[in-house]
Formats: sequence, structure tokens, C-alpha cells
Amino acid sequence: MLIRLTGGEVVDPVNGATSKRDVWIRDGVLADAAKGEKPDEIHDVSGCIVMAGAIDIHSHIGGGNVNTARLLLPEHHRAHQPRPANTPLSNAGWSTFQTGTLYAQMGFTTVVEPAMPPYTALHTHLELADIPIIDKATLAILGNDDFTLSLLRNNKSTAMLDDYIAWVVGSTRALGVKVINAGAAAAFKENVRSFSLDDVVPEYGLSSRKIVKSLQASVNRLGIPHPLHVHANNLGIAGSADTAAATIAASEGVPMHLAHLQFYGYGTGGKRKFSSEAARLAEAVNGNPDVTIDIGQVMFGQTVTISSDVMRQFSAIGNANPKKTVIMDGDGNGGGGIVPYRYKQDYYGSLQWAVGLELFLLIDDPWRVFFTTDHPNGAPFTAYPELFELLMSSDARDAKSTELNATALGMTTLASVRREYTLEEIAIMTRAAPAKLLGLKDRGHLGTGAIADVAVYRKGKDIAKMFREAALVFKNGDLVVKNGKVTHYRFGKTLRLNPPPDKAMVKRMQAFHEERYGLSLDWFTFPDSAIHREDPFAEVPWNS
Amino acid sequence: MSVAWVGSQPVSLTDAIRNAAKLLGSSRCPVFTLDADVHGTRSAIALAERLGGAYDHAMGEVLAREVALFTDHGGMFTTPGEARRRSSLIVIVGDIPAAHHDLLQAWAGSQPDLGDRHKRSWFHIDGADTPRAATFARKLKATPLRAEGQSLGSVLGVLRAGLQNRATAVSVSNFDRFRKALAGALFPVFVFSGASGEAPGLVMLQGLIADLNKTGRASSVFLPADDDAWGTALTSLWMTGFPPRTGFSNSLPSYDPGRWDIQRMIRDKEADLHVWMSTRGGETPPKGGRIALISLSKTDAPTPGAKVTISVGKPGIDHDAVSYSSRIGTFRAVPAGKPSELPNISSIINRLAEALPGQRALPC
Amino acid sequence: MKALTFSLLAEPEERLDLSALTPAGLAGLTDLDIARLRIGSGRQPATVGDVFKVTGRNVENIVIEGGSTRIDKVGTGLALGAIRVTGAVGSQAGRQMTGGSLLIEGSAGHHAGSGMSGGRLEIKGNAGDCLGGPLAGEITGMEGGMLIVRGKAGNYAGERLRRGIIAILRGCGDYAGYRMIAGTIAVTGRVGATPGYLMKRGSLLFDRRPEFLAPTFIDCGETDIAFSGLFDRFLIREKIIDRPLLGASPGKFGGDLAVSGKGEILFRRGR
Repeated sequence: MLIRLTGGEVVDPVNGATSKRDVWIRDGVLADAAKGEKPDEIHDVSGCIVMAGAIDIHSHIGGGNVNTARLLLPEHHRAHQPRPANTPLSNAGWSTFQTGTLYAQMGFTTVVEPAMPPYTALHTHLELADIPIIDKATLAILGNDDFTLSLLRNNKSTAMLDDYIAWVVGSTRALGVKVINAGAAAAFKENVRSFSLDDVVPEYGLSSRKIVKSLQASVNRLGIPHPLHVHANNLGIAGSADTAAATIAASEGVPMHLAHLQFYGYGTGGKRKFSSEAARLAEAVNGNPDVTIDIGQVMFGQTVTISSDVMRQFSAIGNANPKKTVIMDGDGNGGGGIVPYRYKQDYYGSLQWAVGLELFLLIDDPWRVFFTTDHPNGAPFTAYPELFELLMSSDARDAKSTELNATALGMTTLASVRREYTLEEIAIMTRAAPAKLLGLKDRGHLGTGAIADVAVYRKGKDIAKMFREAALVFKNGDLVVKNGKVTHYRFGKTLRLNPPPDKAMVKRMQAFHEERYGLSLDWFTFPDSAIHREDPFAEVPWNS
Repeated sequence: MSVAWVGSQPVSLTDAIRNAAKLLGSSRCPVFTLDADVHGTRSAIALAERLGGAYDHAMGEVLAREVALFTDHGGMFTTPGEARRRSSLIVIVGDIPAAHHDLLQAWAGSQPDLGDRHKRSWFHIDGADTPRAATFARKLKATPLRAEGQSLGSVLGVLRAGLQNRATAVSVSNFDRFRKALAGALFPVFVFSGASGEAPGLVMLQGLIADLNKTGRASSVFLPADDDAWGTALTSLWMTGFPPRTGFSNSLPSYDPGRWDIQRMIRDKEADLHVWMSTRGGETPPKGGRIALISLSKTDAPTPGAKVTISVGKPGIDHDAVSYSSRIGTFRAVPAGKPSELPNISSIINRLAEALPGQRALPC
Repeated sequence: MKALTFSLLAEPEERLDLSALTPAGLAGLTDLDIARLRIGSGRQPATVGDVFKVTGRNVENIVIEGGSTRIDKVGTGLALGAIRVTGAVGSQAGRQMTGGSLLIEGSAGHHAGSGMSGGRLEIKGNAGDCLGGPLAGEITGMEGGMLIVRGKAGNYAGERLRRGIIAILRGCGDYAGYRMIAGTIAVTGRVGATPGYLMKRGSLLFDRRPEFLAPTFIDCGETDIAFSGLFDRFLIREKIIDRPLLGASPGKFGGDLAVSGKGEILFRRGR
């Protein structure tokens, strides 16, 4: 099957300057121009922009906590209107089917669920497998479980920690490792109510810093392409910028990814003791080339916060809107909290919105800042088109700012920052850089040999509209979206690492689970066949 | 041995599928009673969507009560594993289904290895409306918390008020011991099920736990009245955004525990076709309402009253399964205990879909 | 102008959603538009024309002739004008009404008056469970207006009531006023078990001592407050009852003490 896209403006900064040129797809892979060969399909994409399919590195799209949020909030998505359905269950609000459909329609072709508790990995993968069209991946959560903390407390060898992490990543089919408020979930079970980088987990005598540093080093030693994905302490708290700055400093020349930095961009200035420290954090990121971050932009309206940071979520119960929550003290790294929330255009909401944009605009290098709303925590991913517009148009920011709380905006640098993202920078931030960060060499660009994940957008003045409804989207060369509507389903893969398990570690795991949980290890692991889809997983190579 | 029947006549599986598909294709309002593992549930929901039908679990009544605790209130929960390892004070709330007794006895035979590591002590909150509860609780040497003639919901209310130092019209036995035990335990855990008592009592329990968490820690372990039913609820949530009882209208799911109560729809003759799954063996379809019945059940004889009967295997016995397990509080891959040739529900439902006009495959 | 009248031709096969048949929903529609409104929800959904004969013109005054327990959501979002149903209705009658008047001459199913915040809903027959209560997932019940049931109400009458008045004349099931936040529920006749369970504030007014009260309500003795007389006069003036409900010196329980305990159950003594 040979496909030719002709007449489009190709934005693919990895492979050269933006230019009008044809893009060729042969059997699901991007190919060189085929001379003298008649394509099976020709698509005239004049007046359009052609980019690689977008990659979202941090979006809570499936797993136990997301599903609990659905359970808690059946009224949250009643408002969806019937539409003609050409694909099953794509009308079902907040379903896995709708998730894949909506992402694909915006030209996204790979999405990472960043928080998989190892013990509920099967649940996460069952959901990911029911998200159509796109490829998926997930990060295994570590850093709050008794096994890790005991290894560190008992000063076991780094090799043993590495073996354990490799076993977790392999057995849970993860693409990387995430740590969430390291040690806090364990401490919360012993009634600790606040937890910072140098606070110590009772029982283990370990600081949060020690846990983060140990995991970061191990991930690096193991050659896991994605650096340790860190959800720092003190999320959402006034003054959390200090924690974020200290965490950035703690990267110490080793790669580290900081998630949803916006939620840490707060100082204690002003009458309300809640101010922007975005400029300071942006500077810290700019000065630490080993650090990457994503934003977790806040957009206004109703959403629900879903986080494995159980201590933080418990402290947010009072702000729940509507007033109902689920707090789960899970096994080790599991659990978390579901707290519905409405971002209002008041002082706090306006400040959070501005902090996110400041970080986007003040961090210079689009290879190190990633486009997220921490879906659904800052906003549902369906707000992305509006966010693209805010980044690409200072006029759009000014216009929105007039609706917001002026005092809050006055505490920020936003009005003075006139930067506008170019299409090339957008292509880096949402395509090339995520592929690099995740170690996915086969995507994120339109070079020959890459998989044919291609998004075509109709150029227009309305930036949000352009990104909301892609004109065409190809996933592995299969045309799945036409004029902003999914035409049919295909099922993508879940991308994973597959390190060979260390035999001694497997034995140790067997003994541990039998002794501590009274159950054999096979209760906690699963074969690929448990996911009823053909080849549900695709392996990603390790860094050598 | 026959595996398919039209009426009481043995037929080939292909004939049975064709007959069943004809019924499905011409039904105005088909309803599905689910009793399957994750994959059977996925296929059944996909078929219900295609046909504009509605679905509920065979244990829909008690499942609806469990679901309501979450949809209408929420709460604080922990896992069986964490309770076993960390909790030195377990409080059993009302009647816990027999299927979970092994789990609790296993806790009784082990010592917490995290947290305060004290020897485990047990209490049991008992109501006049939960008469079966006490026998099992005595086996665990649980200290009873009860008040003469009072329902579980009332006893929970009295305990909650008492822990806030408010006087009530009656007192609960062993209350002072209970208060002392709570104060001395780092991570007390209340164990409940949808079968524990009425829905308001479960809300009261979560309120009590929330009160305790103002200054200390406490949580609850939810042991579903039926593990498979809870697994179906979780699967339904990611597929449609809603738990059962859900129905489809113009491919749009709507959740309404009254409207899509399958038993009610059959009784009130709103439904005109009932697809009834039963893999537990020995069950008969619910009576009342005489509407056409397609039976997918583990049986070696035609289901009485069914227009079509297809014999299917039991997940985890006849074939590998993925099921919810309250031992670990999540899904588990269960290898076939006694593999057989009996087909799984998912494969039968996919064949039914392909036999419908249009012959489109289901998305799962 | 004659009331816009929908006469039911026969018992419908499927459940019907009549939420579109309100003055606001029908304003400006032609006869043909109205006949074509889809009100069924099954695989071959019915239209208004399939189910009703439509006569009259006055959209401010709507009559549904005949009744069926399958007609749901009658008067949803009613803001002004009047709707009268000459028979029974299904669930969610008067859902989220904000004004106007809805009269059901027969009985209503569950969730009648759910989420209403204004107007007057009167049910001459019985009402099902969750009268005025929230739908699954919602956390507030009725927020205003007047809801009168001349017959019996089911369980959970007035669940999570926040404002407004509910009057039930022939008794109700269990858990009346469950999780009430404020507002008033008046009941004459037998009241089921544990009224006021988990109530935070608000008033339950009964014409007799409740039989099965949760032990987290305690007897506050005889009260002689102006409120009871005032409220009795109000109910009589509104033609909801014809003789005083509480009498001069009602008894009082306070609760639910498991929560804040600021709610009250007032009842007529000596019955």
C-alpha cells in the first residue's frame, strides 16, 4: 500500500526546515518519494500543515483511579448529546473508546498513562487495550512500597534495587518508572500529614530525597530510556516552588523529569499568600539541562483530580466540588485520591492558569518542556486546542486575561511575555521531544523509516479549531480520521520495556508475596494472553 | 453431548447462533443479565450497545447498593493486602458474605508486619437486621458492638455519635473498649460489604471513618457481595463511563438504576427479549414476565422456557479468565481450573454479533 | 385559547421521555414540529404523533390526557405556565422545575420533583421512592418550591432536601428526610423507619409520634414554639391540610446526633 500526501506544508523540524513537499507512506511506514510508481491513494492536502502524530507524555487515561473517578461521578458526563455514531461506544462519555476517539481526532497517536500501581497493572492494561486507534504506554509507580523502602533502609546493594526495578518494569509491562511524593503515601498511613523533600518516612528512617535519588540512579544505571518521572512533594501548596527548586537542584547532572510543574509554581507572596514563582522555576529549568518538565496547565471549568498522591488528595477533600471523594490507602505504590474540582476564574484559578503559561513561555528550550494539562487534573485533554492557541497567540492570552482576576495576573509576568510558539516549536514540544524523552525512535518525526503516524491540519486563523479537528490522521499508515471524525477503529499497541527478569529476584519476590500477603506470586502477575487482543504489547529497546 | 438447543431440541451451535441472532435482530428492547468474567462482560456490553439494549448483573440488586455508596458519597478505603500487613484492629461491619470468610480467617492467623505491629484485635458491629453475622464473628473472637433491637444503621449512628462524645438514646455494648482500641491502633480497618446492611448505614460508616481521620488514621476494606459482579461493574465503567444498570439509546449510554433494572423491565414488559447468562450452574432464569429468553449458561440440558440455549464454560474453570478478586482488590488472571471444550461467553457473543444483519465485528 | 392537549392514544410500548413537552420546549413549534418530536428511546423510538392526539394551542397551559407509568420526566425544567396530567406518570415528574405548576392527578413514580428549585408540584395519588431526591450521583436534592403528595410517598422522601417544603398526606416509607440539609417535610399519617437519618438541619413535622426513630435522635421534651402554629396556618391557608398538623405544643426530637444534630423532628402529641 503506497500513499502520497501532496501539496501540504510539512512541519518536521527534526528533518529540516518547514517546506511544501510530498509525504509518502508505504505499508504503514514513512518512505522516500517513490519515483515512477503509482500510489494506491493520493490525498491533496494543499492549504494544510502536515506533522507527525502528537505524543502526550502525561495523561491519566486508564487504570484503577481513573475508573474510580468514573464510579464516583456518573453525573459528570451525562451532558453528552447523541451524535451519529459510526464507531462503537465512542459516544460513551469518558469511556476508553471515547478517549481514543477524541485523542485521534486531535492528531494524537501515542499517549502515556503516567501512573500505574504495579499491583493493579493488569487493570491498567485491560483499560489501555480498550482505547482504540492510538498507541499507549504507562509508567510503573515506585517509591512508596515496603520492598523498595526496606532495601534502602537495610542498605542492600544497588544491584538488588536495579534487579527489583527491572522486575517491576518487566512484569507490569511499563515503559518507565514514576515516583509520586516519594515516601508520603507510606508516611500517611502512619498519620503523617505533611511531607517535604527532607522529611523522613517513619519505620524506614529514609528521607524523600534519598528515595528519589536512589530511584533516579537506578533508572539511569538500568538504561531505561525515560528518566525517572518525578511527582514532587507538596503539590499545590503555597510555597511549593521551594520544593520544586530543591528537587530540580537534586537532579545533580543526572536526567530527571518533573511532572506538572505548574502545580509547584506557587510562592507565599501577596495578601492571599499565594503568588507566582514561575519565573524563578523557569530559570532553574533553563539552568539545568538534565531536567525536563511538563506543565499540567490549568484551564477553567469542571474537572476531577485523580492522583496517587494520597496525602495531597486527602488534604484537598475540603475543596471538593461536588462534595464527594474517594481516598484509597493502597498497597505500597497504589491508592490515591479522587477529588472533583472546578477551576474558577477567581484569584486562585487565574493565578494557576497564568503560572502554567509563564512556565511554557519562559522555559526556552521546547525540547525540555512538555505540553500537558495532567489530564484531567488541570483540565481534560479536550482543552488542548484552546491551549495551543494560548501558546501561539499573545493576543489570545490578552483576550482571555481580561476575563480573569486582575490582582492574580498582576502577581505574574504573563502580560509582559510576548513570546508566541511557532509551529516548529509546537512540533518539537508535542512530537519530536516526547519521542526522544520516551526513547521512541520510530516516531515523533516524518523521516523515512518512522512509523506513519501523521496528522494533517487545515491551516486557518482559528488555531484552536485547526488543532481540534485534524483534516486527516494516519495511524501506522491507516487513515483513521477524516475531517475531524474517526472513520473506523484499529487497535494500537501498548509500548513497553521487556528486561529479562533476574532469577534470584523472582525467587525473592515469590517468598516475599507468600510471606507478607499469604498469596503466591501469580496472583500479582499475568500473562499477555490475559489481554484479549492480538499482540497487545510492542517492545521498546533499552539504552545500551 | 449437546451444547445447543432451540426450544428443547438439540441443534448444532451454528443453528443455535442463527436462531438467537434472529431473535436479537428483531427485538425492540433486548435486556442482558450478565454473569461473566471481564472479557465476557466486555463483549456483552458491546453487543448491548449495538442492539440498543440494557444490561445489569445477575446480582444487580446488591451491586446497585454497593455502587450507590460510591456514586452518592465516596469514602476512604484500603486494600486487603494493606489491611493484613498494617492493621492491628479489624472491625467487621454487619454480615460479610461467606465467600470472604477465608480471607478474614487468614488475617486472623497472621500478624501485622507494618505500622504498630500489635497483635490483631477484632470487633464486630452487629444489628438486629443482620442475624447471620454473629456466628462467624464469634469464630474470630470479635468483641460484639450491638444494642438490643437496633438495626446495623442505628448502631453505626450511635457509635459515630459516641465517638464525638454525644449522648444517644441507647448505648452500644463494649463501647468503651472499642474507643480505647481505636485510640491505641495506628491503622484501624473496618471491613464491610454491600450485603453488610442497607445503603444509608454504609454512608454512616464512611462518615464515622472520616471523623476518625480528622486526627488519626482509619480506613475500610470493601469486600463486594459478589466478586464477579464487582468486576462487571468496573468493566462497565471503562467501557461506557457508567456502572450497571445502564442502557443504550441511539448508541448513547445512560445510567439509571431504576429505569434499567432488568428484572423490573421484564416484570413490567418493557423488554421483549432477555439474554440470560448463568455460569454458576444450577440456576434458573428469574420468573415473572413471559418474554423470549436466550440462555447462555453452563448446562447440559436446555434451559426451561428458553427459545435458545447455548452451553458455555465457567470462567476460571473451563477456560482461562480475568476476574475481580477481593483477595487482592483488583483483577487477576485466573488459569482454567479444569479446562474443557465449552466455549467462553465472549466467543459466543462475537459469533452472535457476526450473525446479525450487517455482520460487523464487535470492538471487543 | 384552549389548553394544548396531548391525549394518549394507547398504552405506549416503551418508556417515553416527555421532558420536551413544556411551555418553553414547545413555544414557537408548528403542529408538525410537535408531532415529530422524538419521545421514545428504544430502537424504533416513538414520536409525539405516534403516541398522542394533539389538540389546542395554548402552550402556557398543557394537559396530558390519560396517564401511564411509562411516561417519564413530565414537566422537566418547567419554569412558568401549567401542566396537568389526568392520570399516572412514571419517574422524575417535575425534575428540576424552577417555577410554574405541575399537577399529577394520578400517582407518580420515583424521583418526582427531583432537584426542583421552585414552583408547585402536586400529586393527587401516591409518589414512589426518592420524592424530591437527587438522581444517582447528584449530591443535592430539592432546593426550593412546594411539593405536595395527597397520597402516600415511598422510601427516602425528601432525601438531601436543601430548601422548600414537602407535604405528604397519607404517610411515607422509611428514611424520610434522609441526609436532609435544610427545609421542611410535613407528613400526616404513618411514617416508616428512621426518619431524619443523617440529617444535618431542617425540620420534619409529623402528626404523630414516629414509631421507629434512630437512637441518635433524643427527646427534647415539649416545645411551645411559635413556628408550629405559624406553619400549621400556612399549610391550611395553602389548602394542603384542613386542620392543624402539630397542635399547640408539639413534642420534639433533635438529631441526627451522628452528624451535627441540628435537625428537628416535631410531632403532635397524644396520638
